Amino acid sequence: MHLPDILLLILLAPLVSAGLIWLFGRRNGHLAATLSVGAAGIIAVASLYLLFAFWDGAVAEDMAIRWVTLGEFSLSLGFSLNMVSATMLFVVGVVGFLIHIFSLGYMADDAGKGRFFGGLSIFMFSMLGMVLSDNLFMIFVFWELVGFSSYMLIGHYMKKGEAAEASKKAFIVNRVGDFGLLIGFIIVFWTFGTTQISELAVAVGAEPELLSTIMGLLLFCGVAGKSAQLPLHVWLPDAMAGPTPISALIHAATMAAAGVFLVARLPFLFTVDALTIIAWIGVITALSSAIWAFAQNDIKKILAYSTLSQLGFMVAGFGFGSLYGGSAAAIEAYGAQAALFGVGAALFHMTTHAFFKALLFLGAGSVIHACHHEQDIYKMGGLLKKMPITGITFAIGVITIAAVPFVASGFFSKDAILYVAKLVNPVAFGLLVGAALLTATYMGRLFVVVFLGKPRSEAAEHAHETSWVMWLPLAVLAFFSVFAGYVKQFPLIPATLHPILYDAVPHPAGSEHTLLIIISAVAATMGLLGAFLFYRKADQIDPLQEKAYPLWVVAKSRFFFDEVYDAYVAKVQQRVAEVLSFLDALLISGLLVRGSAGLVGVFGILARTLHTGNVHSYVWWFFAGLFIFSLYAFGLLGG
Amino acid sequence: MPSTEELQALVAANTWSALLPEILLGVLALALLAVDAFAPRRQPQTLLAAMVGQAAILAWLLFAVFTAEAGEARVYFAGSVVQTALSDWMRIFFVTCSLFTTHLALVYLRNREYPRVEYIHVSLVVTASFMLLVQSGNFLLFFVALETLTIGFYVLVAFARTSRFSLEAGLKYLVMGGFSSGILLFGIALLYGVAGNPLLPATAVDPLNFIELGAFIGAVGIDGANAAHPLVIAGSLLVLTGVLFKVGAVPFQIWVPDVYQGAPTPTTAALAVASKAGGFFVLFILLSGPFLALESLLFPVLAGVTAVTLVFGNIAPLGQQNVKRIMGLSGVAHAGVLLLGMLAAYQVPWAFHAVLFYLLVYAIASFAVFEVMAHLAPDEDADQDISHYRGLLKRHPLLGSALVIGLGSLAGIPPLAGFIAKVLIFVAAFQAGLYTLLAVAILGVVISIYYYFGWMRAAVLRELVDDGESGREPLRVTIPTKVILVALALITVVGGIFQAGLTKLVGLS
Amino acid sequence: MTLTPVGLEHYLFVACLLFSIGVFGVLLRSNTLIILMCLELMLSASIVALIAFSRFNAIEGSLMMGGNLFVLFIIAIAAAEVAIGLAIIVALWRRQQTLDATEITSLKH
Repeated sequence: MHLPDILLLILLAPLVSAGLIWLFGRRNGHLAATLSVGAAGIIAVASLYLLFAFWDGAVAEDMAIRWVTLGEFSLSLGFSLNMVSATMLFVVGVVGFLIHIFSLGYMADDAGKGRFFGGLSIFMFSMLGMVLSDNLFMIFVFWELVGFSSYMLIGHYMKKGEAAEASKKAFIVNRVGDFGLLIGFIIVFWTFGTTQISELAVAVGAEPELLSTIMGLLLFCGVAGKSAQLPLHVWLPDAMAGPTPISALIHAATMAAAGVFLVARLPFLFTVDALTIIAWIGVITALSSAIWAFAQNDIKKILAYSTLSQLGFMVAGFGFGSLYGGSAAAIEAYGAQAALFGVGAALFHMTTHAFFKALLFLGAGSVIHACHHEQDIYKMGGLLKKMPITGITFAIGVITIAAVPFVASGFFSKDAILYVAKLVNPVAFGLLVGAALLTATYMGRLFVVVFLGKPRSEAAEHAHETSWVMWLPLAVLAFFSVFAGYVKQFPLIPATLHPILYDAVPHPAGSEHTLLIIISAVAATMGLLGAFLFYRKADQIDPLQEKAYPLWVVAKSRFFFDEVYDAYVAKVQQRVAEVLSFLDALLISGLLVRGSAGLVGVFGILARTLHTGNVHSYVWWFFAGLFIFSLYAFGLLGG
Repeated sequence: MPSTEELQALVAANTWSALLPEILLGVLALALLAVDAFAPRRQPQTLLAAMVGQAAILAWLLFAVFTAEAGEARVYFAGSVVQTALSDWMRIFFVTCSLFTTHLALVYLRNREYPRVEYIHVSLVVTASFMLLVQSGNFLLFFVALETLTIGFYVLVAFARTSRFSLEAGLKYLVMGGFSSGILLFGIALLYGVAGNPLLPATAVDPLNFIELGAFIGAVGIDGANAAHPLVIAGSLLVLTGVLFKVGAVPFQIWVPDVYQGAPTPTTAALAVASKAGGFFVLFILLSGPFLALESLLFPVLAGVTAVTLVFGNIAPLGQQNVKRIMGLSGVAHAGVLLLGMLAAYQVPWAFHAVLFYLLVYAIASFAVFEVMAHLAPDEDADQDISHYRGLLKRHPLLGSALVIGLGSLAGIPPLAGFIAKVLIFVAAFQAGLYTLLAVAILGVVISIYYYFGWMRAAVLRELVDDGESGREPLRVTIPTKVILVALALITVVGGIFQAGLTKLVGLS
Repeated sequence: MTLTPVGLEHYLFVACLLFSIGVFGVLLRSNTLIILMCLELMLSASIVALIAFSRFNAIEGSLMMGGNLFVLFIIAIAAAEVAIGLAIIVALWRRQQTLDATEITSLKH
């Protein structure tokens, strides 16, 4: 086996599976599930083999499969494997496989099983394609495919109006981001004359003055769309209308991480100004979504806001890490390694987050499944006794996301981010610590309300542990969540990835180290303990709503982002669109809303009236064409 | 008068064997008529022979092309016939189209009382004319071939002689086609006159010959360049008009929807694919040959035409419910994209190969769609509505899938072949610096997805309406049809991912 | 009074006249038969022009026979076009009892 063969196998397995499902498995859910899980298994085995046993860690490029060659011009399906893509491959391979297994149980009785598993396979294909691409063109194509397939999957329960709305929202918001991304890519191509990432890196290194802040910010538009950063975050909580394994796959392991992956893949394209803005967007996202999570009662929405918050951490980590890595002090202290600080910090947290967030989502899925699709946490309670495995693994997830020192991988990765933030900007550091404290608190709230106390409804009363296909992935993920942080000590993470996940992460030393640990420990314990004390006695109504209503309202408002957007769409855009924005009307109301909207109809009628059916009028067209041609010719002669 | 030796030399240049495929097609066409006249009971065998004969000619052409050594253009008949690697490729293209058209005709005529053998006879003659057209080296063969096939199309369009729609379409095509032929011919006459004028520099001895005409137009005398001569300008614009009519570019596109709708489905397919491809190849011959020196005159004209064609072609199909009209109107949009490629070819050498690739992909996707249309057409062929396609994927998964793949490729949805074809043309246009037109074209693609999507949605999502009338009787799909549909769909899908074979075919690699 | 010898420009004038009559006939007349005739007139205009060019461009050593030859083909093509055109018109007449182009408008929009 050669490296390109393995990569091709990884990429084609889900494509073939999707194709077969589309051909034969649409009615046969069982077959579809087998195919899809088989493909995911192949991906997992192949990528683990690749990373643990085959690949030596050297950057592998020039694995282009010539796609189209036209004389000098060629489009190639280029693969590349480097630390960044390998990390992502590892995450997608492992977590994707576990989610497939979990789906077997969760979707067992779903009528649209074939469609669901077909969508999963397409999603895996698009995601892996994006991860392995070595040029911007392909990244964009697969990026769009990721968006499209997630749109399909979120809208799985299409009979539910909410799901259809959510998938539409996800699609539109992502289009907005992607539009910026596309323009960004075009500007990059325009400036540097290549879309090949390796060539781009060289070109940027040669002429760094060509970089502009706007370029980086446009690229970040796409990232903000996919990774749900402010102000494009609104789709992600709504996307919870999809099946829970999809929430896990999309929000934990892959799609939401795709944005982070993109910046990690192209770190050299961002200027200092761009990085500063990006880092602050990350901080604000991390903090505000942590606040919003308090007013949510839907178990999945809480997790969705925590995802937003954690993605904010990653983005902030990328921004501050790169800023610090670019500073003279860091280069002096760490050498060339410093340039990777941003990437390392973001990727490390992305990896650990993928494990513990997948764990939390699947745990939530298990709970929802056991409670007959009840999602309100105030209708659950006391589930720890009824579902011990789910409960314990969920508790591990909570501890990990709360970043309790030493027993949780989230601690190590979050610490790295806090450390670089502290080095660059103490205010940001403070805000992030605040976000970490809030994280521990609302996660504690979630655990206390769902798993402790007494059952608050009939469904919770009769809940019982789910089947092994559902709890086994939980156990595996819990294991990863705890130990993945010890990158070097446990052989969970391939040694080939250590340079990016360990060496490229700045480690504080001495008193600073101690100080950080103390701050983290205090934040985590205070949060968890505070949650336990505050929510311990909670009954049907949220204690915060009862005791501190104004605070609750602030959190509940979600700072009015959705309202502003809705108002914009309803009041401004609709009217402007009808008159001015041809494209908007076509894309948003034409393509996505059912039925042909007014504008399309107008054009249709216009075109119809041209075709009168009378052959004379047709000859007049001809004559008019001749007339214009002759005018042009005479003009030419005269001039 | 020419001496006997000169005449003998001329005769010696008549290498008939070079045109054997065309001649054989003609013989096949005549033989079909003869056999059918004398043995009408043997019609099934006759029809089979027609298919086999075409397939044999196709195989022979393929063999000849792939064993031929790359070399200079081959010139026969004292410059009338010029065979190049590209024209050989187009011959293969037309015979392939002819095979598909024949098959469509057999499907279409299955339940109708119109004569079958005659249809195929005319279609074969048209095919042979197309093949001659792309090899023409002077305006004589050019015009004769063009008119032969156009007249053949008059017959094919009006073939359903009991349908008023078909007859009306025939009449409209006749009037518009005749009009454009008249204009084209007048342009040729003007060019002939001015290029033969002994008072101008570099007078052509044989002004109808493309090479000599090109040399004449490119020459510069004391009084200025020949390219600026009023008759040259007028003549070339008139000829261009005639060719633009064939490809269906605005403002010479207005006949398209009516004729496409009224014509029997196989004729519509031939018009959409073969006629458009022939028009573009002829445009290429003219622009790269005799009209090469006229770039500064023709480029703005073509650029303007391209822009309005792109806009019209993408807006006009919006809200259209008749699928044959959609195919016609969206064909105008495809013509716009192809024209963009032709413009890029002025700057970027490989752009014309991209045009050929686009034509190939367009042909494959279109035939897939037309095959489905031929199966779903009601008794009155002109009344094909989107609503007939409701729930097609459920009703007949193969037809439904082929339709969706074909339409997806036409719309340029990745990763189908149509997407790559569009990307190639856009890249060429980008390299040629045609940014404004490129922006229009990309906008057009976005819009085009909308109307293709409406059709696809009907096939995929909408449930079958149980109105008791249409769509209840089972669809008869024979095994050869299934094979064809699967092959077309596979090429479209695979072509989107690995196009080495396809690009090699059009000389792109 | 001397007669001006008939020169190239006269023939070309006639050709242009025929062409214009043809074009405007197609544009303005509604009887399909007349439209068909006008189409033929457009071809005839080219015939006149080709022959005139052929005659007046000929010099010693260059006979310019191409134009004359072309005309023969055009005549044959015109005949074929008329044959098909008439057949369609007859069939239409049988079907609809009208020759008025403005009434044959069932294909539209």
